[in-house]
Amino acid sequence: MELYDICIVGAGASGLASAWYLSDKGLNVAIFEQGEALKIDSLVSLEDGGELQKTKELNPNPNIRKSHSDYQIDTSNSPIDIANFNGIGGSTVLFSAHYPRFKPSDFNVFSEDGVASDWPLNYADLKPFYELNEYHTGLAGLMGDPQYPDVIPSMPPVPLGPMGRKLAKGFESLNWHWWPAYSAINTNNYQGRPSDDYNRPSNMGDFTGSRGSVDNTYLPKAVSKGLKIKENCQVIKLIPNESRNSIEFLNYKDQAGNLHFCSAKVFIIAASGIGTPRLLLSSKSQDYPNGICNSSGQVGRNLMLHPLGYIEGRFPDNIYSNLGPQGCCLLSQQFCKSNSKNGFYRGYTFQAIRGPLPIEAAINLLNSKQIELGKNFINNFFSKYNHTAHLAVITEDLPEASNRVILDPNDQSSDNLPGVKINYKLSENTKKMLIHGLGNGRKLLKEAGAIKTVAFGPIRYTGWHTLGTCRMGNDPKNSVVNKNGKTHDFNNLFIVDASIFPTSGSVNPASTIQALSLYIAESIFLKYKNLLSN
Amino acid sequence: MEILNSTLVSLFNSAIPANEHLRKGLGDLIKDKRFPEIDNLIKELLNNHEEIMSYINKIISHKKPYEELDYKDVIDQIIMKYGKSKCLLFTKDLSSFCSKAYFSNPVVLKSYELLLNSKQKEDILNVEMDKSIFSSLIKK
Repeated sequence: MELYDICIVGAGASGLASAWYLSDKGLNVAIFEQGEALKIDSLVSLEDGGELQKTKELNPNPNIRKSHSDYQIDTSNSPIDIANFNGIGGSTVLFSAHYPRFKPSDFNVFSEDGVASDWPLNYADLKPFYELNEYHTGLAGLMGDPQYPDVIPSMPPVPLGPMGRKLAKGFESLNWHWWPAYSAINTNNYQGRPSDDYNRPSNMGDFTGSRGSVDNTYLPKAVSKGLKIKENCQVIKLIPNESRNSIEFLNYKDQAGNLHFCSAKVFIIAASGIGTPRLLLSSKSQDYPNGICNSSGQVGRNLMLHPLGYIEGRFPDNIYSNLGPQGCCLLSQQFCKSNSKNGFYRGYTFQAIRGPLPIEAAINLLNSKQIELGKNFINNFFSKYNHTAHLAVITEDLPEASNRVILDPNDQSSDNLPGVKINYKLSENTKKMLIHGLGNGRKLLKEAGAIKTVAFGPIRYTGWHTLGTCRMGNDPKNSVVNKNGKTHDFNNLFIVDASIFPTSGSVNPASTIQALSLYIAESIFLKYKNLLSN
Repeated sequence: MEILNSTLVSLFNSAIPANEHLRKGLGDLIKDKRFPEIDNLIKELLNNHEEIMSYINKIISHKKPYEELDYKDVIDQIIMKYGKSKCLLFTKDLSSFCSKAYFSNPVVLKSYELLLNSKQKEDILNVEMDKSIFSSLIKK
């Protein structure tokens, strides 16, 4: 039987960060990934019609992509579909690379606003790990942001472009906060990786290595320290020992369909806010009828998805809105804090995003009946394409026990595990926040010179950020892991992904996911040394 | 069996016709150079809308050879025959197909200069202009 010091399940943002940290400390680490690495030669250049791949093999929705490593997610009880990528690098392979940190107040939501809960750790605990993570990933941005006074980017910001400059003028005119985006995209050569040439949107895979996806950053460093990659190996169950205090084995299936057992001193789960509860719930047995780590009944609950709204503003001139890195342009945190006048708790971030490429733009314009096929299609298309500025509202979704990931016993078709379903409803708080954001977004775009604006949300295909389904807390009665990521129920089982977030912040979570993973990896190495010694 | 028959060429040409920038409509562009991905999408469209497709075939067969097919006219006739909701499902799939087939075609991407070269990008992004904006932002 295979035996390692550390077994990690999931080679995405959090799994590979921990894998690097622990391999670097000389530990014998294996990482299990149900998918494989995205092969560069499978990517088609945009000149050769590569955008078409975004509608199938590079589609972020696993229910559309249907690769051999994907499992279907039933979202019929949710206004938002799940977006991810199952393979080496996880969802960072297709991420937009927007990379802001959470702010200190994001860790103290209950103390500040009397809702949700505080994290059992604070910003100061994570700060050194944000810095370590930004060093390894590379951060483009601008120092001096009043919202993030201690962030020191290692590279200049990504270009604003004509669209960003228009929007910046609007923010200035309203005297609202704005700042160039924090991006995990190289604007200089960085640690042997080149500067981005903006030839390809950041969410369509990477030819060059210029983006800070984990297959470019932590993976090669971890492999050089001896990390063993078990690709196309799907972990199907975690098996506790007889005394019920530790995990003894994991059971996995290789690409040929053969089942294996593997043992380790420490097990780390890093399979996302959907995959992690799915694995824990699927590991049920006679002794654990509700799945493992679930003595609190919290596994799968409190799903937060950052519901997004979009505001589009049409400009008379060509503002080349699709030029530049897709998800990164500028952000505004004018409305990220609670304000008693707003009628809701917490707030939202504005994120300017680049427009879609022509296939996606045409489909969106046709579906929304802004243009139609026929004689005037081309003229109408080009009067709108690249003339439209795009702004996203990212709402701070608060945890609700009824928003949850559950197993779907009726669906056994997608792989070896039971099917997975999400039950998710927008809370009244989030709805009010979204409406507020859409209104302010229109105001901003008009101020920036838009002649027409449209606003809509929540956007169905944007469930990238799956947070909160195995939450962290001090009390084992209402949380799944402690402040060091250790599960309350087992001595040697840790979780490092976004499922442990008690609250969601209002920015893309990748930076916080990875900082938290490094923090937990250090805790394992320093505070739980005894687990590794025998 | 050839899937791209003259009915489909006419239908696609009517959906995205030739224009002053590009002298070929979508149907002729597909006919000129075949891509397996697009052929698969055509098959999908045919399978999903067999009945409507054969009706379109009938509409076209009644046209005189020199008569140009008008997209709006075809859709109106489909609505009359099958009703709005069935037609909507068809036009949604057709819109998606036409967008994918047209804007993945290298001739189209080149003709409309949809993908800029490095120099063009550099000029438009104009990082120098950003620098002065950033320096006044920091000073605030």
